[in-house]
Amino acid sequence: MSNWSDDKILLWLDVFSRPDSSFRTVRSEEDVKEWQPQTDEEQKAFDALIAKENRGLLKAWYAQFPSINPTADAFRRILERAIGKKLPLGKG
Amino acid sequence: MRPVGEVPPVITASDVAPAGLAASRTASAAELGIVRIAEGAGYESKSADVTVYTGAYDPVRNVVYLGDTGHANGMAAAGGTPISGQTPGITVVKTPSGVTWAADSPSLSSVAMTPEQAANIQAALQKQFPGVPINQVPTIK
Repeated sequence: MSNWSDDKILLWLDVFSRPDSSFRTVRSEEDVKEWQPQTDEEQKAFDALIAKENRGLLKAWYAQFPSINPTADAFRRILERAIGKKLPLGKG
Repeated sequence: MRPVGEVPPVITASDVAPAGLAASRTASAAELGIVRIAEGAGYESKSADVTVYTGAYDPVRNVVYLGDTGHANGMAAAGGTPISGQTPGITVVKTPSGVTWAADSPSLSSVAMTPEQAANIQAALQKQFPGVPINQVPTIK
């Protein structure tokens, strides 16, 4: 990726990195199952992340990491539930 | 995002070279070890006397870049260049009694932070917020 701002997956995920993101309320596995985007901007970013046309980009995104932090992993599980498919991490 | 009433002494993004320049990433890590905060950054929680920053750590420059518009965007606002898998996103929460930080980013999500890098972040934050305890936690909610 030549320029970070060209990385659409990074930019969409970054919406959920903001201090006021609703995703910051996710604490438990139950929250992972029930969490929904809360604002129009979150909904747009989430819809883009789970869109079929972006599935390859999303899979490639997670496949580049051999491991991710627990918060990121919770979001990955939310995405997996939404698309009904696994998003495996890479082997490093 | 939102102006802050009280911000510690800040080195603003305008003090640094434009993000992405190769030359800007060649500085000696040992000579830096600082925090750069985007001008006006610091999200103030409505429910408590809490200021939240989001950004990332650049281990090549040994600089913590903080904003409040996400981890990648926050880093960029402070003059850094987010790089997936290389610049771990961090959240920093400042309260009157201390500062807590975590590498808990869903966007700059790699956990490949070494103990030395964590210690560098800790030291940089201690320099930025002197006189208060600085604590690393796994996740900030």
